[in-house]
Amino acid sequence: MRVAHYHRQFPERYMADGKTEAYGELYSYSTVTAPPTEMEDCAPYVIALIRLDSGRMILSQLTDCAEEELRIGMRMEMVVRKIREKGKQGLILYGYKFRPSEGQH
Amino acid sequence: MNVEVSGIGCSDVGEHWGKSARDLFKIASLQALEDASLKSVDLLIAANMSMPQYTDQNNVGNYLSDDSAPAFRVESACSSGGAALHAGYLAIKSGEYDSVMVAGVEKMTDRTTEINTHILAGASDFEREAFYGASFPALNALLARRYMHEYGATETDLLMFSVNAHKNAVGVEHAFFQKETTLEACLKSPYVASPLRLMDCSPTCDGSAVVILTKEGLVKRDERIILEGSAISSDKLELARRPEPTFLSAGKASFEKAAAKANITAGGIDVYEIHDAFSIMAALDLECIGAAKKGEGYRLAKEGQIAIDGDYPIATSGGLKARGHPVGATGVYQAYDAMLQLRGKAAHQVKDAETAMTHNIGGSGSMIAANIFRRSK
Repeated sequence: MRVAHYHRQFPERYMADGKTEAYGELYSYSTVTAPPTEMEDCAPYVIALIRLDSGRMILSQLTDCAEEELRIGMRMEMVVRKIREKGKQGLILYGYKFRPSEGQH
Repeated sequence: MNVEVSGIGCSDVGEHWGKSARDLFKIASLQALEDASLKSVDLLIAANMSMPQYTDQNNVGNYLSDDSAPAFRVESACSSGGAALHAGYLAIKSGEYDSVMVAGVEKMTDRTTEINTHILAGASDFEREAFYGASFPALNALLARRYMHEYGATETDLLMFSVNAHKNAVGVEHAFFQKETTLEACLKSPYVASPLRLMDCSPTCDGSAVVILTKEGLVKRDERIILEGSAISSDKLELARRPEPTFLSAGKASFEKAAAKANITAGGIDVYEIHDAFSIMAALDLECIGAAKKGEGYRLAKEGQIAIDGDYPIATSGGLKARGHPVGATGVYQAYDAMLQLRGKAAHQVKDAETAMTHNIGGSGSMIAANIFRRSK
Protein backbone atom coordinates (compact mmCIF):
# COMPACT_ATOMS: atom_id res chain seq x y z
CA MET A 1 0.00 0.00 0.00
CA ARG A 2 1.22 3.42 -0.83
CA VAL A 3 0.06 6.34 1.21
CA ALA A 4 -0.39 9.63 -0.53
CA HIS A 5 0.03 12.54 1.79
CA TYR A 6 -0.64 16.24 1.58
CA HIS A 7 2.80 17.29 2.69
CA ARG A 8 4.32 17.04 -0.75
CA GLN A 9 7.91 17.79 0.15
CA PHE A 10 8.00 15.26 2.94
CA PRO A 11 10.25 12.26 2.11
CA GLU A 12 8.08 9.35 1.08
CA ARG A 13 10.30 6.84 2.81
CA TYR A 14 8.80 7.97 6.09
CA MET A 15 5.45 6.56 5.03
CA ALA A 16 6.28 3.40 3.04
CA ASP A 17 3.81 0.49 3.33
CA GLY A 18 1.65 2.34 5.79
CA LYS A 19 4.33 2.06 8.45
CA THR A 20 6.35 4.96 9.58
CA GLU A 21 10.03 5.33 10.17
CA ALA A 22 9.81 8.82 11.56
CA TYR A 23 10.91 9.40 15.10
CA GLY A 24 11.86 12.47 16.98
CA GLU A 25 11.61 14.54 20.14
CA LEU A 26 8.79 16.75 21.35
CA TYR A 27 9.86 20.40 20.90
CA SER A 28 6.64 22.12 21.97
CA TYR A 29 2.90 21.44 22.23
CA SER A 30 -0.48 23.11 22.73
CA THR A 31 -4.01 21.86 23.33
CA VAL A 32 -6.41 23.62 20.98
CA THR A 33 -9.76 24.32 22.66
CA ALA A 34 -10.98 26.95 20.15
CA PRO A 35 -10.84 25.11 16.80
CA PRO A 36 -11.29 26.43 13.25
CA THR A 37 -14.06 25.19 10.95
CA GLU A 38 -13.86 21.52 9.91
CA MET A 39 -12.04 20.76 13.18
CA GLU A 40 -14.90 21.39 15.63
CA ASP A 41 -15.58 17.69 16.15
CA CYS A 42 -11.92 16.99 16.97
CA ALA A 43 -11.44 19.59 19.72
CA PRO A 44 -9.78 19.54 22.10
CA TYR A 45 -6.74 18.21 20.26
CA VAL A 46 -3.00 18.65 20.70
CA ILE A 47 -0.79 20.40 18.11
CA ALA A 48 2.95 19.92 18.44
CA LEU A 49 6.33 20.64 16.94
CA ILE A 50 8.54 17.54 16.66
CA ARG A 51 12.30 17.70 16.10
CA LEU A 52 12.89 14.64 13.88
CA ASP A 53 16.04 12.59 14.25
CA SER A 54 17.10 13.92 10.86
CA GLY A 55 17.27 17.35 12.50
CA ARG A 56 14.29 18.71 10.64
CA MET A 57 11.30 20.10 12.55
CA ILE A 58 7.71 19.22 11.66
CA LEU A 59 4.30 20.38 12.86
CA SER A 60 1.77 17.68 13.60
CA GLN A 61 -1.27 16.80 15.64
CA LEU A 62 -0.62 14.33 18.45
CA THR A 63 -2.76 11.27 19.05
CA ASP A 64 -3.13 8.45 21.59
CA CYS A 65 -2.07 10.69 24.49
CA ALA A 66 -3.32 13.40 26.85
CA GLU A 67 -1.59 16.71 27.44
CA GLU A 68 -0.76 15.72 31.03
CA GLU A 69 1.50 12.91 29.79
CA LEU A 70 3.58 15.20 27.62
CA ARG A 71 6.93 16.69 28.43
CA ILE A 72 9.28 18.58 26.14
CA GLY A 73 12.08 16.30 24.91
CA MET A 74 10.12 13.02 25.07
CA ARG A 75 10.44 10.48 22.22
CA MET A 76 7.69 10.55 19.58
CA GLU A 77 6.76 8.38 16.60
CA MET A 78 4.71 8.99 13.47
CA VAL A 79 1.46 7.19 12.62
CA VAL A 80 -1.09 7.50 9.81
CA ARG A 81 -4.42 8.99 10.84
CA LYS A 82 -7.46 10.82 9.51
CA ILE A 83 -6.89 14.56 9.65
CA ARG A 84 -10.22 16.06 8.57
CA GLU A 85 -13.38 15.57 6.47
CA LYS A 86 -14.45 18.04 3.82
CA GLY A 87 -18.10 18.03 4.82
CA LYS A 88 -20.62 15.19 4.73
CA GLN A 89 -20.05 14.30 1.08
CA GLY A 90 -16.48 15.52 0.65
CA LEU A 91 -13.10 13.86 0.82
CA ILE A 92 -11.77 12.23 3.94
CA LEU A 93 -8.22 13.52 4.23
CA TYR A 94 -5.51 11.37 5.79
CA GLY A 95 -2.06 12.38 6.93
CA TYR A 96 0.40 11.84 9.74
CA LYS A 97 0.10 12.37 13.47
CA PHE A 98 2.63 11.68 16.20
CA ARG A 99 2.32 9.86 19.51
CA PRO A 100 4.64 9.11 22.40
CA SER A 101 7.00 6.30 21.38
CA GLU A 102 7.16 3.28 23.66
CA GLY A 103 10.09 1.52 21.96
CA GLN A 104 13.77 2.27 22.18
CA HIS A 105 13.84 4.46 19.10
CA MET B 1 13.17 64.02 0.09
CA ASN B 2 11.46 63.42 3.42
CA VAL B 3 8.09 61.72 3.84
CA GLU B 4 5.79 63.59 6.21
CA VAL B 5 2.76 62.33 8.10
CA SER B 6 0.21 65.06 7.39
CA GLY B 7 -3.07 63.59 8.49
CA ILE B 8 -4.50 60.84 10.66
CA GLY B 9 -7.95 59.48 11.37
CA CYS B 10 -9.66 56.36 12.63
CA SER B 11 -12.96 54.81 13.55
CA ASP B 12 -13.43 53.38 17.02
CA VAL B 13 -12.25 49.79 17.19
CA GLY B 14 -15.08 47.50 18.14
CA GLU B 15 -18.03 45.41 17.02
CA HIS B 16 -19.65 47.55 14.32
CA TRP B 17 -22.56 45.36 13.30
CA GLY B 18 -24.42 48.36 11.87
CA LYS B 19 -21.57 49.58 9.67
CA SER B 20 -19.84 48.26 6.56
CA ALA B 21 -16.10 48.36 5.93
CA ARG B 22 -16.78 51.33 3.65
CA ASP B 23 -18.64 53.15 6.43
CA LEU B 24 -15.70 52.68 8.77
CA PHE B 25 -13.24 53.85 6.12
CA LYS B 26 -15.34 56.99 5.52
CA ILE B 27 -15.09 57.95 9.18
CA ALA B 28 -11.31 57.46 9.20
CA SER B 29 -10.53 59.01 5.81
CA LEU B 30 -12.65 62.15 6.27
CA GLN B 31 -10.95 62.77 9.62
CA ALA B 32 -7.53 62.32 8.05
CA LEU B 33 -8.26 64.60 5.07
CA GLU B 34 -9.56 67.31 7.39
CA ASP B 35 -6.53 66.85 9.63
CA ALA B 36 -4.22 67.31 6.65
CA SER B 37 -6.30 70.16 5.16
CA LEU B 38 -6.49 68.20 1.90
CA LYS B 39 -9.48 67.54 -0.33
CA SER B 40 -7.98 64.59 -2.18
CA VAL B 41 -4.87 62.46 -2.51
CA ASP B 42 -2.88 61.15 -5.48
CA LEU B 43 -2.97 57.47 -4.46
CA LEU B 44 -4.88 55.23 -2.07
CA ILE B 45 -3.23 52.13 -0.67
CA ALA B 46 -5.63 49.84 1.17
CA ALA B 47 -4.24 47.67 3.96
CA ASN B 48 -6.46 44.66 4.45
CA MET B 49 -5.96 40.99 5.18
CA SER B 50 -9.15 39.10 4.45
CA MET B 51 -12.03 41.15 3.10
CA PRO B 52 -12.62 38.65 0.27
CA GLN B 53 -13.39 36.02 2.93
CA TYR B 54 -15.09 38.25 5.48
CA THR B 55 -17.40 40.21 3.16
CA ASP B 56 -16.82 38.61 -0.28
CA GLN B 57 -15.29 41.88 -1.48
CA ASN B 58 -12.24 41.79 -3.75
CA ASN B 59 -10.74 44.85 -5.45
CA VAL B 60 -10.57 46.43 -2.01
CA GLY B 61 -8.61 49.52 -3.04
CA ASN B 62 -11.21 50.50 -5.60
CA TYR B 63 -14.04 49.62 -3.18
CA LEU B 64 -12.65 52.21 -0.77
CA SER B 65 -11.62 54.94 -3.21
CA ASP B 66 -14.80 54.64 -5.31
CA ASP B 67 -13.35 57.45 -7.38
CA SER B 68 -10.68 58.34 -9.88
CA ALA B 69 -7.71 58.23 -7.50
CA PRO B 70 -5.58 55.17 -8.26
CA ALA B 71 -6.05 52.56 -5.57
CA PHE B 72 -4.92 49.05 -4.76
CA ARG B 73 -4.70 46.70 -1.81
CA VAL B 74 -1.60 45.53 0.06
CA GLU B 75 -1.91 42.23 1.89
CA SER B 76 0.57 40.53 4.20
CA ALA B 77 -1.78 39.10 6.83
CA CYS B 78 -1.59 40.95 10.17
CA SER B 79 1.29 43.10 8.88
CA SER B 80 -0.73 44.49 5.96
CA GLY B 81 -0.88 47.90 7.63
CA GLY B 82 2.85 48.16 8.19
CA ALA B 83 3.55 46.90 4.68
CA ALA B 84 1.09 49.44 3.20
CA LEU B 85 2.86 52.24 5.08
CA HIS B 86 6.08 50.98 3.54
CA ALA B 87 4.46 51.04 0.09
CA GLY B 88 3.24 54.58 0.72
CA TYR B 89 6.72 55.61 1.86
CA LEU B 90 8.20 54.19 -1.35
CA ALA B 91 5.56 55.92 -3.48
CA ILE B 92 6.50 59.35 -2.08
CA LYS B 93 10.25 58.65 -2.03
CA SER B 94 10.13 57.66 -5.68
CA GLY B 95 8.85 61.09 -6.59
CA GLU B 96 5.88 59.64 -8.47
CA TYR B 97 3.27 60.73 -5.91
CA ASP B 98 2.99 63.81 -3.71
CA SER B 99 0.27 62.50 -1.39
CA VAL B 100 -0.71 58.96 -0.46
CA MET B 101 -3.56 57.78 1.74
CA VAL B 102 -2.71 54.55 3.57
CA ALA B 103 -6.04 53.09 4.64
CA GLY B 104 -6.26 50.09 6.95
CA VAL B 105 -9.63 48.38 7.16
CA GLU B 106 -10.97 45.08 8.48
CA LYS B 107 -14.50 43.90 9.21
CA MET B 108 -14.27 40.68 11.21
CA THR B 109 -17.14 40.43 13.65
CA ASP B 110 -19.94 39.44 11.29
CA ARG B 111 -18.48 35.92 11.27
CA THR B 112 -18.55 33.17 13.89
CA THR B 113 -15.54 32.36 16.04
CA GLU B 114 -14.90 29.13 14.09
CA ILE B 115 -14.93 30.90 10.72
CA ASN B 116 -12.72 33.67 12.10
CA THR B 117 -10.28 31.08 13.42
CA HIS B 118 -10.23 29.42 10.00
CA ILE B 119 -9.67 32.72 8.14
CA LEU B 120 -6.94 33.88 10.51
CA ALA B 121 -5.16 30.52 10.17
CA GLY B 122 -4.59 31.62 6.59
CA ALA B 123 -1.86 33.89 7.96
CA SER B 124 0.17 30.73 8.57
CA ASP B 125 1.34 28.14 6.03
CA PHE B 126 -2.02 26.57 5.28
CA GLU B 127 -0.65 23.38 3.64
CA ARG B 128 1.82 22.65 6.39
CA GLU B 129 0.21 24.14 9.50
CA ALA B 130 -3.46 25.06 9.36
CA PHE B 131 -4.33 21.86 7.48
CA TYR B 132 -3.31 19.86 10.55
CA GLY B 133 -5.57 21.92 12.79
CA ALA B 134 -3.07 24.50 13.96
CA SER B 135 -5.09 27.62 14.72
CA PHE B 136 -3.20 30.89 14.78
CA PRO B 137 -3.32 31.06 18.59
CA ALA B 138 -1.93 27.48 18.61
CA LEU B 139 1.18 28.53 16.67
CA ASN B 140 1.76 31.32 19.17
CA ALA B 141 1.09 28.85 21.98
CA LEU B 142 3.83 26.56 20.62
CA LEU B 143 6.21 29.51 20.81
CA ALA B 144 5.01 30.38 24.31
CA ARG B 145 5.43 26.81 25.63
CA ARG B 146 8.96 26.54 24.24
CA TYR B 147 9.89 30.02 25.46
CA MET B 148 8.69 29.19 28.97
CA HIS B 149 10.63 25.92 28.86
CA GLU B 150 13.86 27.52 27.67
CA TYR B 151 13.86 30.70 29.72
CA GLY B 152 11.79 30.00 32.81
CA ALA B 153 9.01 32.49 32.12
CA THR B 154 5.57 31.61 33.50
CA GLU B 155 1.99 32.08 32.30
CA THR B 156 1.67 34.83 34.89
CA ASP B 157 4.78 36.60 33.57
CA LEU B 158 3.34 36.70 30.06
CA LEU B 159 -0.07 37.92 31.23
CA MET B 160 1.63 41.03 32.65
CA PHE B 161 1.69 42.32 29.07
CA SER B 162 -2.11 42.11 28.95
CA VAL B 163 -2.52 43.88 32.29
CA ASN B 164 -0.31 46.74 31.03
CA ALA B 165 -2.20 46.98 27.71
CA HIS B 166 -5.61 47.23 29.38
CA LYS B 167 -4.34 49.89 31.78
CA ASN B 168 -3.15 51.98 28.82
CA ALA B 169 -6.50 51.71 27.03
CA VAL B 170 -8.45 53.42 29.82
CA GLY B 171 -9.70 56.77 28.53
CA VAL B 172 -8.60 56.07 24.94
CA GLU B 173 -11.65 56.96 22.83
CA HIS B 174 -10.92 54.64 19.92
CA ALA B 175 -9.92 51.63 22.03
CA PHE B 176 -12.09 48.49 22.15
CA PHE B 177 -11.54 47.56 25.84
CA GLN B 178 -11.26 50.76 27.85
CA LYS B 179 -10.97 49.08 31.21
CA GLU B 180 -8.30 47.68 33.44
CA THR B 181 -7.90 44.03 34.19
CA THR B 182 -6.03 42.13 36.89
CA LEU B 183 -3.69 39.17 36.87
CA GLU B 184 -6.28 37.24 38.86
CA ALA B 185 -8.96 37.90 36.24
CA CYS B 186 -6.56 36.99 33.42
CA LEU B 187 -5.68 33.70 35.13
CA LYS B 188 -9.39 32.86 35.37
CA SER B 189 -9.92 33.24 31.62
CA PRO B 190 -10.16 29.95 29.71
CA TYR B 191 -7.41 28.45 27.60
CA VAL B 192 -7.71 29.08 23.87
CA ALA B 193 -4.59 27.08 23.05
CA SER B 194 -2.62 26.11 26.14
CA PRO B 195 -0.57 27.73 27.64
CA LEU B 196 -2.28 30.80 26.13
CA ARG B 197 -5.57 31.92 27.64
CA LEU B 198 -8.21 34.22 26.21
CA MET B 199 -6.54 37.12 28.03
CA ASP B 200 -3.21 36.42 26.31
CA CYS B 201 -4.91 37.01 22.95
CA SER B 202 -5.99 40.15 21.13
CA PRO B 203 -9.68 40.32 20.17
CA THR B 204 -11.32 40.05 16.76
CA CYS B 205 -12.89 43.39 15.91
CA ASP B 206 -13.78 45.90 13.22
CA GLY B 207 -12.03 49.14 12.43
CA SER B 208 -10.46 51.48 9.94
CA ALA B 209 -7.43 53.73 10.41
CA VAL B 210 -5.96 56.16 7.90
CA VAL B 211 -2.60 57.90 7.66
CA ILE B 212 -1.87 60.44 4.93
CA LEU B 213 1.74 60.63 3.81
CA THR B 214 2.94 63.62 1.80
CA LYS B 215 6.17 64.86 0.33
CA GLU B 216 7.88 67.34 2.60
CA GLY B 217 6.40 70.81 2.47
CA LEU B 218 3.15 69.95 0.66
CA VAL B 219 1.10 70.46 3.80
CA LYS B 220 1.87 73.15 6.37
CA ARG B 221 1.48 71.98 9.95
CA ASP B 222 2.63 73.42 13.27
CA GLU B 223 4.44 70.21 14.12
CA ARG B 224 6.21 68.21 11.44
CA ILE B 225 6.44 64.46 11.78
CA ILE B 226 8.74 62.58 9.43
CA LEU B 227 8.59 58.90 8.55
CA GLU B 228 12.36 58.53 8.72
CA GLY B 229 12.84 54.82 8.37
CA SER B 230 10.62 52.18 6.81
CA ALA B 231 11.55 48.57 6.10
CA ILE B 232 10.08 45.10 5.80
CA SER B 233 11.67 41.68 6.19
CA SER B 234 10.48 38.12 5.75
CA ASP B 235 11.31 34.72 7.16
CA LYS B 236 10.12 31.20 6.40
CA LEU B 237 6.33 31.14 6.54
CA GLU B 238 6.25 27.82 8.38
CA LEU B 239 7.27 28.03 12.03
CA ALA B 240 8.93 24.59 11.99
CA ARG B 241 11.34 25.59 9.24
CA ARG B 242 12.94 28.45 11.17
CA PRO B 243 16.24 27.51 12.85
CA GLU B 244 15.31 29.26 16.10
CA PRO B 245 11.52 29.72 16.22
CA THR B 246 11.53 31.76 19.44
CA PHE B 247 13.71 34.46 17.90
CA LEU B 248 12.10 36.78 15.33
CA SER B 249 14.88 37.12 12.75
CA ALA B 250 12.62 39.09 10.39
CA GLY B 251 11.88 41.50 13.23
CA LYS B 252 15.56 42.08 13.90
CA ALA B 253 16.28 42.60 10.19
CA SER B 254 13.39 45.01 9.54
CA PHE B 255 14.06 47.01 12.69
CA GLU B 256 17.76 47.33 11.94
CA LYS B 257 17.11 48.43 8.37
CA ALA B 258 14.57 51.06 9.44
CA ALA B 259 16.72 52.19 12.38
CA ALA B 260 19.75 52.64 10.15
CA LYS B 261 17.74 54.90 7.83
CA ALA B 262 16.48 56.86 10.85
CA ASN B 263 19.99 56.88 12.37
CA ILE B 264 18.73 55.61 15.72
CA THR B 265 19.13 52.60 18.02
CA ALA B 266 16.54 50.71 20.04
CA GLY B 267 17.47 52.56 23.22
CA GLY B 268 17.03 55.96 21.56
CA ILE B 269 13.33 55.57 20.78
CA ASP B 270 10.67 57.09 23.04
CA VAL B 271 7.54 55.11 22.07
CA TYR B 272 7.37 51.43 21.04
CA GLU B 273 4.15 50.39 19.33
CA ILE B 274 5.04 46.71 19.10
CA HIS B 275 2.88 43.81 17.92
CA ASP B 276 1.23 42.36 21.04
CA ALA B 277 -1.30 40.18 19.19
CA PHE B 278 -0.41 37.56 21.79
CA SER B 279 1.44 38.13 25.06
CA ILE B 280 4.31 35.94 23.87
CA MET B 281 4.67 38.05 20.71
CA ALA B 282 5.18 41.17 22.83
CA ALA B 283 8.09 39.48 24.62
CA LEU B 284 9.64 38.16 21.41
CA ASP B 285 9.21 41.52 19.67
CA LEU B 286 11.03 43.40 22.43
CA GLU B 287 13.88 40.89 22.15
CA CYS B 288 14.27 41.04 18.38
CA ILE B 289 14.60 44.84 18.35
CA GLY B 290 17.25 44.60 21.05
CA ALA B 291 15.25 46.14 23.91
CA ALA B 292 15.96 42.95 25.87
CA LYS B 293 18.33 40.01 25.53
CA LYS B 294 17.06 36.67 24.25
CA GLY B 295 14.78 35.13 26.84
CA GLU B 296 14.51 38.31 28.90
CA GLY B 297 11.75 40.23 27.12
CA TYR B 298 9.15 39.06 29.62
CA ARG B 299 11.16 40.67 32.43
CA LEU B 300 10.44 44.13 30.97
CA ALA B 301 6.76 43.52 31.73
CA LYS B 302 7.43 41.98 35.12
CA GLU B 303 9.65 44.88 36.17
CA GLY B 304 7.37 47.61 34.82
CA GLN B 305 9.71 48.92 32.11
CA ILE B 306 6.96 48.68 29.48
CA ALA B 307 4.76 51.18 31.38
CA ILE B 308 4.16 54.71 30.04
CA ASP B 309 6.87 56.08 32.35
CA GLY B 310 9.23 53.13 31.80
CA ASP B 311 12.25 52.83 29.51
CA TYR B 312 10.28 50.95 26.85
CA PRO B 313 6.66 52.15 26.81
CA ILE B 314 4.61 49.82 24.57
CA ALA B 315 0.94 49.62 23.57
CA THR B 316 0.45 53.21 24.69
CA SER B 317 -3.21 53.29 23.59
CA GLY B 318 -3.83 49.71 24.66
CA GLY B 319 -1.99 47.95 21.86
CA LEU B 320 -3.44 45.05 19.91
CA LYS B 321 -4.68 43.46 23.13
CA ALA B 322 -6.88 46.31 24.39
CA ARG B 323 -7.13 48.96 21.67
CA GLY B 324 -7.91 46.00 19.42
CA HIS B 325 -6.55 44.09 16.43
CA PRO B 326 -8.64 44.49 13.26
CA VAL B 327 -5.91 42.50 11.56
CA GLY B 328 -5.20 44.21 8.24
CA ALA B 329 -5.80 47.66 9.72
CA THR B 330 -3.63 47.16 12.80
CA GLY B 331 -0.37 48.50 11.38
CA VAL B 332 -2.12 51.77 10.52
CA TYR B 333 -3.70 51.96 14.00
CA GLN B 334 -0.19 51.54 15.42
CA ALA B 335 0.96 54.52 13.35
CA TYR B 336 -2.14 56.49 14.48
CA ASP B 337 -1.26 55.81 18.11
CA ALA B 338 2.38 56.73 17.51
CA MET B 339 1.24 60.04 15.96
CA LEU B 340 -0.90 60.85 19.01
CA GLN B 341 2.22 60.44 21.13
CA LEU B 342 4.44 62.56 18.86
CA ARG B 343 1.79 65.29 18.69
CA GLY B 344 1.47 65.27 22.47
CA LYS B 345 -2.21 64.31 22.22
CA ALA B 346 -2.20 60.80 23.71
CA ALA B 347 -4.50 59.88 26.59
CA HIS B 348 -1.45 58.45 28.33
CA GLN B 349 1.32 60.70 27.14
CA VAL B 350 4.96 59.61 27.10
CA LYS B 351 6.76 62.74 28.30
CA ASP B 352 8.43 64.74 25.52
CA ALA B 353 8.10 61.92 22.99
CA GLU B 354 10.09 62.77 19.87
CA THR B 355 10.57 59.38 18.25
CA ALA B 356 8.23 56.43 17.88
CA MET B 357 8.41 53.07 16.16
CA THR B 358 5.79 50.64 14.96
CA HIS B 359 6.58 46.97 14.52
CA ASN B 360 3.85 45.10 12.72
CA ILE B 361 4.06 41.30 12.53
CA GLY B 362 2.41 39.09 9.93
CA GLY B 363 2.11 35.34 10.27
CA SER B 364 3.79 33.73 13.26
CA GLY B 365 6.71 36.16 12.85
CA SER B 366 7.37 35.51 9.17
CA MET B 367 6.77 39.02 7.81
CA ILE B 368 7.57 42.08 9.87
CA ALA B 369 7.29 45.77 8.96
CA ALA B 370 9.16 48.46 10.88
CA ASN B 371 8.35 52.16 10.64
CA ILE B 372 10.14 54.85 12.63
CA PHE B 373 8.73 58.36 13.04
CA ARG B 374 10.36 61.52 14.37
CA ARG B 375 8.94 64.88 15.35
CA SER B 376 11.04 67.47 13.59
CA LYS B 377 12.19 70.46 15.63
